[in-house]
Amino acid sequence: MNGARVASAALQQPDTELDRLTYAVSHDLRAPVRAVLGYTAVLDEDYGTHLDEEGRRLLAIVSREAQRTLSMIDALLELSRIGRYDAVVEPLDMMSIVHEVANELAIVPIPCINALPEARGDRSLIRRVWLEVLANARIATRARSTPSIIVWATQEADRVAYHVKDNGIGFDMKYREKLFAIFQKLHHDRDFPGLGSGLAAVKQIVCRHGGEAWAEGRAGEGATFSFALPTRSAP
Amino acid sequence: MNAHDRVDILLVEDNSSDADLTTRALVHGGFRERILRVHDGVEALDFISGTGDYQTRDTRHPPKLVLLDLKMPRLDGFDVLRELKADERTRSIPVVVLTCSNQSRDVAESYRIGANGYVIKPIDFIKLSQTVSQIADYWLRINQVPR
Repeated sequence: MNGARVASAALQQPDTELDRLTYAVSHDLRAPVRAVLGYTAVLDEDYGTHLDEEGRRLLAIVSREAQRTLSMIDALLELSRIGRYDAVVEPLDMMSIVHEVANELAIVPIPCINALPEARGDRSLIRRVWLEVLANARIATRARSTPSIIVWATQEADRVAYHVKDNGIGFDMKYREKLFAIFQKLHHDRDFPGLGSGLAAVKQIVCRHGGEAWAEGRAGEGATFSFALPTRSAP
Repeated sequence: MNAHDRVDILLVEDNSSDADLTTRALVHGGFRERILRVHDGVEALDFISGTGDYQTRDTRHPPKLVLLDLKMPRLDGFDVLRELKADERTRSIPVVVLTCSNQSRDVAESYRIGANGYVIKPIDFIKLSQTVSQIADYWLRINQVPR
C-alpha cells in the first residue's frame, strides 16, 4: 500500500507530554527574545550615533546573542514538530533521495553512492535525515584538499543500515554520546559552524521509525555516520 | 469630542513590548494617524461597541483598521474576530491578524471566521516597520469600506 496516511501512533512516538511542554515553552520564550532584538534595533536606529565604537560593539553582541537564542528556540520547536508530525509511511527509493539531497547541497566532488536498498518511512522525514548527515560530511571535509564522501548500505537480519563515511575532521569516540544530543558540539564554531541540532533531529526521526542512529570516528581522521531502519512494514 | 472618538488603528495586543514595538514601527514608517492600543479582546470589543470603559465613546466612528494579536488573556483574537464578523454593524471593519504564530491551523481558522488578512510579524525591526506601514497604507488609504 503506497502513500497510506497513518496516524502518528503508527510511528513510534516520543514522550508526547514532554513534547507538548517543549513546544509551549519554546513558543512562549520567543516573545521576550523578539523584544530584545526589536529594542536593540530601535536603540541602534535612534541612538546609535550617540554611542562610541565600544558601545556599538556591545550592542552588536546583544543583538547577535539574542539572535542565537532565537535560533536555539526555533531548533527546539522544530524538534517538537518532528514528534507531532503526522507521518506518511511508504516505500522509499533511497538512491533517488540521496542523489536529490547531494545535488541540493552542491557537494563537490559528488559523493560515491553505492547501491542502496529501499526503505519504508516518511519521505520528508527520511530526506531530512540524509540532508543532515550529508551536510555534516560536507562541512567536516571542507578543509580537506581531496574530500571524500562514500555512501553505502548493509542488510542486516530485520533492518537495513545506511552509512556515510567521510575523511573530514572526525571526532574523539569518548564524546560520541554527545553527538546526537541537542546543542552539544564536539568542535568549535570556526571548525564546525551550527547550533548542534541537526544530529538530534536525525536521532529523533530515526527513533520514530523504530530504528537507530550511531557514529564512529577518530579525531582528525574522518567519521562514519550510520542509521538503520526496520525492513518490516510500518511499526 | 471624546479623545477616543476617532481612532485610525486599534492595536489589540497584550504584550506591552510587542505593542510598543509595533507602534514605534508604524511611526518609524512615517505613520502619523491615531493609534490606540488595548490590552485584550474584552477591551477591544468594549472600545468598538462603546461599553465598559468606553461607554462615552461615539461608536459612529469605528477604527479604520484593527491589528489583532491571537493569543491574549480573557477574550483571545479568535473570539474578537467571531464577534466582530457576526455583527452586521461591525462586519466591515477590516481586521488584520498580526501575530508571531506561523501555525497553519491558526491561519486557516482566522480566515474561516472572517479575518481580512493574516501577517506574521517579522523579527527584524526595519522589516516590521515596512510590513506594518504597508498594511496601514493599504487599509487606511487605498481600501474603501461602506460608510
